[in-house]
Amino acid sequence: MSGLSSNSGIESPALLGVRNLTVDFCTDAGIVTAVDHISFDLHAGEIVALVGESGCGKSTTALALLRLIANPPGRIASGEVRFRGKDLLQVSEAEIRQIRGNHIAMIFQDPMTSLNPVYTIGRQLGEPLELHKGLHGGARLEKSLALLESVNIPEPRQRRQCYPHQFSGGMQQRVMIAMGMSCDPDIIIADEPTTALDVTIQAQLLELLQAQVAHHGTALLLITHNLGVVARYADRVNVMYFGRIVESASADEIFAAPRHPYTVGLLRCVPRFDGPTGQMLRPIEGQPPDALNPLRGCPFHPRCPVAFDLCRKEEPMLTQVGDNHESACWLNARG
Amino acid sequence: MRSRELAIVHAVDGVDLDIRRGETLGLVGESGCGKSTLGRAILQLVRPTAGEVRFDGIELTILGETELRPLRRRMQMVFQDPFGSLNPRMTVGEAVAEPMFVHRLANSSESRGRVAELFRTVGLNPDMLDRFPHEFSGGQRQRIGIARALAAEPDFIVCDEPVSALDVSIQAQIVNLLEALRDRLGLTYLFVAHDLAVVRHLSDRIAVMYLGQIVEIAPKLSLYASPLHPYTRALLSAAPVPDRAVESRRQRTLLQGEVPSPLHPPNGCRLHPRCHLAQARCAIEQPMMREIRPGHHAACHFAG
Repeated sequence: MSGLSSNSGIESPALLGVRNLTVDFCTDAGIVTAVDHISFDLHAGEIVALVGESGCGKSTTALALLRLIANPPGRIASGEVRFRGKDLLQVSEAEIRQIRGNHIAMIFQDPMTSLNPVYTIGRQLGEPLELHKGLHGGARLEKSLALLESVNIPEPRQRRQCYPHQFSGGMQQRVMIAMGMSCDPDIIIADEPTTALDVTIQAQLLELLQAQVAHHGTALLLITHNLGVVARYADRVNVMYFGRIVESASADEIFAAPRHPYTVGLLRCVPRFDGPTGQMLRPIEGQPPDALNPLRGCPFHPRCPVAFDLCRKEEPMLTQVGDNHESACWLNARG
Repeated sequence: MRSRELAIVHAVDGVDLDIRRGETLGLVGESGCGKSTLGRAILQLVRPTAGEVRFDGIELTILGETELRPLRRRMQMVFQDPFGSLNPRMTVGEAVAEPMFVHRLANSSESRGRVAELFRTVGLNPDMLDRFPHEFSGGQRQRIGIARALAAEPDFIVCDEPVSALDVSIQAQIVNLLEALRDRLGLTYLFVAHDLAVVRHLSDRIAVMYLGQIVEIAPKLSLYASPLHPYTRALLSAAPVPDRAVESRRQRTLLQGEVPSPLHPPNGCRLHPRCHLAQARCAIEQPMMREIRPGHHAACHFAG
């Protein structure tokens, strides 16, 4: 993979640099490579989207960055995650624990299972503050209240004594966002943060995250399957298919001039509520390949409308196709 | 003795709706607004507490189970969850044949050929009909669910979030299938979904629900081009469009707060605690549905 060339046009050094990250899972049926040599960068104040459909490896990528892959069955087979001059895949367990939640925070998709049902909201929110910031007593309380207020939870003083089940899904996810922001992290990784929620609540929460990025220079890795969310919020987009990044570009470029046939197909098959009506949708035919029986050649070729001989034989690497724009497709080489 | 009811939730409250033959009516709203319950109440899967449902001129709510059965054949449902709605211990061929036996549409010797035909109709290979549900992907299972609904030879199908559990590339396949079947078989759909774009694509008219009530109903072009109810506007504004150029220009009106509990819906207009247009009157007086443009109805004091 031409990982090192990614984002080469941006001058400022990356806050987080992922290189050739590979994650395997051992299953009864054999070894499955869920993430296959992916590379990308995150810069301060930037929202980078990792887009793809279920099973493409985007959530596994997020977990691997913080070494949260359960081993066994999972294993980070290779790669490097550079943060503040260190490779997070090599640092000690104690060091990574100092980084998790403190410098790099994670917001998961399902707030109902991420919050502990037997502790109050206030206690859970206070934990990272005590652990990473050394706040106790009144100082911790004050910071907790400020955080709840910042995510628009009304009456924070009363609410902090509630248990998670007393909150709606949207409010629980607000608490998760407050916890994520509690230690002023450099990076927030948000894995489908609003997928379980309704659109009106989704919009409220994404505006909160966007404000955090804008006002504090946090970098946000936004993992989503929703292309509308990507269009509205992302600065840069990495499209994943079958464990690989198949296209990487600025959000403007991805929507204006997508180069990989998978990206083109994805954008084309989503119905819109603002365009002309009356046409049939144009789906991507077929199904993603079976991870246990990887194909020869490009993993997208059985579904690709423009595949030719070479695509069935050899897998294309990510190559530069424009300013800050990479795509893994043999057609790019043909020009 | 007092009944053991702790509280009554009016999941669907005072809804008036017509679906014309051959029409697709879209029903949108957020989770818990009562859209699925309304779909089920129309099919008499949930018996309404009050009100009537007429199907082809026949009042359903007063019929007993035996009298309902021949009508049930004509009204089928496609469910959201392609994993939960198929019996894991039945082959998919058996699952599709079952409605034919229940409604005596085929005997066992005829059914196999008919099932194979249905498989082809929904784009599945008939060689697979002796397999079990776990051998199929989500998209394929949804095709099986559609074949099962078609097996009863219905006139009317309630599609309850039929594509929301699927990936976008697969969603488009199923939406196209539902569209082709409707045109070919002359079906009438109630299409229940929260995805505004999918609903617009398939529907002729669209009803918007909030907290158990319909707040706006209109032909699709009129609804999306000029929504009248503040809730519909907020819903459209909150849903992002997969187009960077459009998104960078769009204005957003966000609703405040969360949906209140249906156990204690607000007085007056149910949206008023979250509505930026709300005035004193909205907290007291429930707005009636009014026809503001031809065929375009909305329940807001300030619409039009």
